[in-house]
Amino acid sequence: MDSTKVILGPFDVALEEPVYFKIEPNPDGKTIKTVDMINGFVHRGIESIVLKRNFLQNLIITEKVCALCSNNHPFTYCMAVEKIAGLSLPERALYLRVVADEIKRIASHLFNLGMLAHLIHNKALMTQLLETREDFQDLKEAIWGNRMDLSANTIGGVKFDLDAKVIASIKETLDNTRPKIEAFIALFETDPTLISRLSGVGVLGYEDALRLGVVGPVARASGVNNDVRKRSPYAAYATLHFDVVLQNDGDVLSRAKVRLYEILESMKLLHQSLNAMPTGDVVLPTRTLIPEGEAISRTEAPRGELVYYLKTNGTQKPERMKWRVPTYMNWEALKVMMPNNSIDDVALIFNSIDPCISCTER
Amino acid sequence: MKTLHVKLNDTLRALKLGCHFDANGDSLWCEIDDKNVLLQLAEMLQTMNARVCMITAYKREEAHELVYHFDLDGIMINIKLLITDKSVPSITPLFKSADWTERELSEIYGITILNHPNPKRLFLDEAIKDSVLKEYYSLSSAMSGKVSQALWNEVKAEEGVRHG
Repeated sequence: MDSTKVILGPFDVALEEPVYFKIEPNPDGKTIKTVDMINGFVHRGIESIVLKRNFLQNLIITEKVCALCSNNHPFTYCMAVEKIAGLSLPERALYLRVVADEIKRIASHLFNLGMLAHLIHNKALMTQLLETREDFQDLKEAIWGNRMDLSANTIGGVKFDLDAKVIASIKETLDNTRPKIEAFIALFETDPTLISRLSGVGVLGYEDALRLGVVGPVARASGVNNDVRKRSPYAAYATLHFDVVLQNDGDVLSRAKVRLYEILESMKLLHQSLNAMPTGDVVLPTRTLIPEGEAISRTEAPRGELVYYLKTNGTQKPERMKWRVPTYMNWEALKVMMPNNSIDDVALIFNSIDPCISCTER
Repeated sequence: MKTLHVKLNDTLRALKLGCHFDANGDSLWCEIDDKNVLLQLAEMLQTMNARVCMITAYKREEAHELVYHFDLDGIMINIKLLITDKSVPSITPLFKSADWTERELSEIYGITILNHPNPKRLFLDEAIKDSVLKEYYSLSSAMSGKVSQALWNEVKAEEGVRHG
């Protein structure tokens, strides 16, 4: 056997985003021996751009970092600014932030599962998953006027409010989609074809997950609880009840199941926040100048822990601002997941970490 | 979380470090100026099963200030290190989770990471010099995927070598 390398990418591996795999096959020519990845195709220098904009303008820039986690970026950024300025938010805003975040999480998880169905060529399942997601896309469009970038957060609160009619429509959507999600769970728990296709693929063990510091559903599928909503609660999460979904096998199937069960948990959170939401302002009435200081904030994005660091110097532009997205931590785990799997499964394993390349490279 | 606060306070007092929790109690800030203390702290955190979340850097006059962000059971431990010689020992041998973020420090700020097991460029093309945060590059030249006449010429030249 010669030492031919298999090159996948840089375009169209699983999604439309560019990543470049250099795979060295085992002597059988079918399975992976080692994998190397080359990144940086969509590095745009956003961390430099944000230093040239003021704090309100950066709400827009941060929302554009990533499409699928687009709500979490301005959300976490606002939390950092609010910490520095010492703002305490109206109660209602904290609950509304949870609502925006959980609706976004459900849509994001369904999208990832739809892609998984696409990659195993199960078009019927893909259609069902993406149709279910469509209900949440419609919901987002009805509430925020937009299907991806919600522009829900602002410094000191949120930019939207929910009246009784909208609350009723959210609950209706949840009630209608819940049986569908339960049916998907039953399918992933019992369908022999799905289970044999997905189990044992791309395994990341507990010890490796700890060592690599992976986050989000990737960590939880390997039994590591890194859920920021529980470990370091923010917004209204400390007052809400939900369970952290953990699985032990660490394979593609476990990661899919974590996402499916988390959708049910998100629905629980949505019902609770919609019921418990107090009346009152949704945003602080006055704008504050941002004093000198520094802060770190983090949230649980659909893909895992998102961290923002902000340093200010008394002017109305950041002195330094840096963030780290979940995929940044999970990417290196591919080098553990991929060896000894079939080369055909590269895209499937890659998709199972729910990669977001444009926000990883910024 | 309370017991962890007490434990951290005791440990840090024993090391004689000036540290404080912020108002919410979910992050701890420490300032140090000795790289050996950083390694000591990193070793201690490693035995406590912490993980590296991120490393931030910024330029302060001619020196650089680095902030190491560790997660320990939901508490963010931020260790600030002032360096004047643009180099710092790698903590990747202790924490695999520091691998990427240390490589990013060197390409954005030109900080040398000593003893890093895999010191390759992370995102930026080799042709771009170190320490680029404040400089303007057009998007097409900054990305590894640049498609230009220069790249095309390189490809053709290599093809010529291979096919004679």
